Amino acid sequence: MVFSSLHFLYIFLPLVMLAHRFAPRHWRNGVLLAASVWFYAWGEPVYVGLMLFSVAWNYLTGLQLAAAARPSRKKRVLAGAVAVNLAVLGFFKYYGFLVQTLNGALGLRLPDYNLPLPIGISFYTFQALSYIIDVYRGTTKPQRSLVDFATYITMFPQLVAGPIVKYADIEAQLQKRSASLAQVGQGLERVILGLSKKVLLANNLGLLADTMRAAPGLSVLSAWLGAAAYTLQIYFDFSGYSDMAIGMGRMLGFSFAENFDYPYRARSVTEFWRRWHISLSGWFRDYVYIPLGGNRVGAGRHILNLLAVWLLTGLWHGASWNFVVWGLYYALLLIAEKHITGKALGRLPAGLARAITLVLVTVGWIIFSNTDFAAMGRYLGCLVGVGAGGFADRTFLYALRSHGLLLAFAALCCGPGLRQWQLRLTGKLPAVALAVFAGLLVACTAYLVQGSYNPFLYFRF
Amino acid sequence: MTERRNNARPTARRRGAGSAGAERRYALVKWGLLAALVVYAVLVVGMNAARNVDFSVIRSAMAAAPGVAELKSLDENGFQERLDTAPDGCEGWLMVGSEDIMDVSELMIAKADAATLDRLESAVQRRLEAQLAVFRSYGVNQKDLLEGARVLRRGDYLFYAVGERADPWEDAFLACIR
Repeated sequence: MVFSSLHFLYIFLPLVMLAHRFAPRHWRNGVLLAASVWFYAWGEPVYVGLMLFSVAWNYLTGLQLAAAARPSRKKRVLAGAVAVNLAVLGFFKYYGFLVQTLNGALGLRLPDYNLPLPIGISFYTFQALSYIIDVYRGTTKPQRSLVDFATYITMFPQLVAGPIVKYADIEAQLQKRSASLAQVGQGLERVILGLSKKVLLANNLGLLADTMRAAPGLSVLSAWLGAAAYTLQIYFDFSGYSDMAIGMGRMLGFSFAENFDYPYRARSVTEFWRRWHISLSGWFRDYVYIPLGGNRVGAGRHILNLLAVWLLTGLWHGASWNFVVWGLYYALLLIAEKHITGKALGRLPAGLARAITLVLVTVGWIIFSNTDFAAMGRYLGCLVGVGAGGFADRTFLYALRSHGLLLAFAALCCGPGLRQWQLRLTGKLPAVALAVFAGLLVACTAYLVQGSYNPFLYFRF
Repeated sequence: MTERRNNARPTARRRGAGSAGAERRYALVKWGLLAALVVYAVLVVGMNAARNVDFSVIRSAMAAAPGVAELKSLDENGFQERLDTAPDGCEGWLMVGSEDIMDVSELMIAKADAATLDRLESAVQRRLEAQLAVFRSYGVNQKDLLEGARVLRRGDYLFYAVGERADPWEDAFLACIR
């Protein structure tokens, strides 16, 4: 089930919210668990079994870690549990990629089972891993209730595309939570805001990006316009999903951490990754980068650590070589920033530093969005005039005329100004704010009635 | 103090023995879970696997499927016209479609390597999007049929069908490769 579908918005969500609100307190997690399984089974009936395996396996691992007396035994239990989690992720997500690579490189005929990707597997596996590692480290107590633990892993607002919620962050809320009517209202506002980002902005920007990508003889400016449209699309698509997840969490009485902090205002690539998909960056920092030594090591080892973390970050995003290249691209940028250009970048005027970062990030999205290296090369070439059909063309002018307003509004929404204005409006003129949100919901609904199936980009991961 | 210490030792031992026992029980259940996971994975793989059959078998089976004979068999040009890509790299393929532009019925099956199937699957998705864009505003039946389109990947095969008889076509195809 997709958040941006009429079925979800007008049947599933209201039913679940009502059932959760009016259920006795000790049944609430059970209600939420049942709803989450229903939500997942709607699109992935076969893979519900895999998700429930992950729940049972990691629940038992938590208890086993608590029961194991010797540190060496705990270490073995953790290693085994992590290995099984990664093996499951590896088989269901990366097997086809590995087989195709081996068959292509070595001329083998290993069978490719063409398994569909279990939606959300990267997200729930990473949540489960954070839980068992924290239990092993002793920073989190094991959850003794299977229902509560299953609720944590399967919770539908963040099940399929994050944010990756650490168990410790919502442990108390799993036991006891409440949502006042004001909180429900705030959550609903956030849901509508996220839906609008996805339906009104991201989907329309996506059409522009696809048009430019498919246009024959792309000019330099058309290529940049298409790249800008995709850069904005992926931000509004993913941050829209995160907004909806955070909003639904609030309506249920949970407080999920923010996943985006106006990333396109970053003045360096390092800062960009502190602002983009914060929960994933935080996961890799806490469970891979710091255990490897982080930056408290020699320059050579630090470079290796960054390469390892970013290779894994790239692979996490998808079983395809372009994601590996995308991860290494960021590794190189971060290495350069930390060891070569960092101080110089810090001395630049803020606007210039932001522009440079934005160009680097935009180029990154071209690598990210092209699984075909030939197409990627052609597009990157067009950006600098190699193989481009001139500097500007009619397609560019037409696209600018037809989508200029959308692009300008989307660019405005990338900064905090509009959101701050909306919050002030909600505080001072609640009736007007209500009318604005009702209008947005009506507009989104109209788009959804007319539109075709358009899942979130991050569902692939 | 001594007495208390003497009492404490057996308690700790008992607790230690208890948690060792619990740990063994958890480990045992986890082994059971792992066995279940292996069975589950085998079943999922089995559901997605396809028998390697000669494409002529599929061609004959589909020709006998209800309604297929009423559609026009398309050559390479027709294939390219509809999917905006050529069937290059396919070990075998078939495509039939209606000649009436208001009839969205079409069926395509291809046998190829994964990369070719990826290309064809993208072409099929684009075709569906384009058809939906055409019929969304006024063709209620066509829109319903397009939204109910079947796109399946099984082993080396890609199956795509739109039409009122998409279900029996899918059954006929699956019967060939199972």
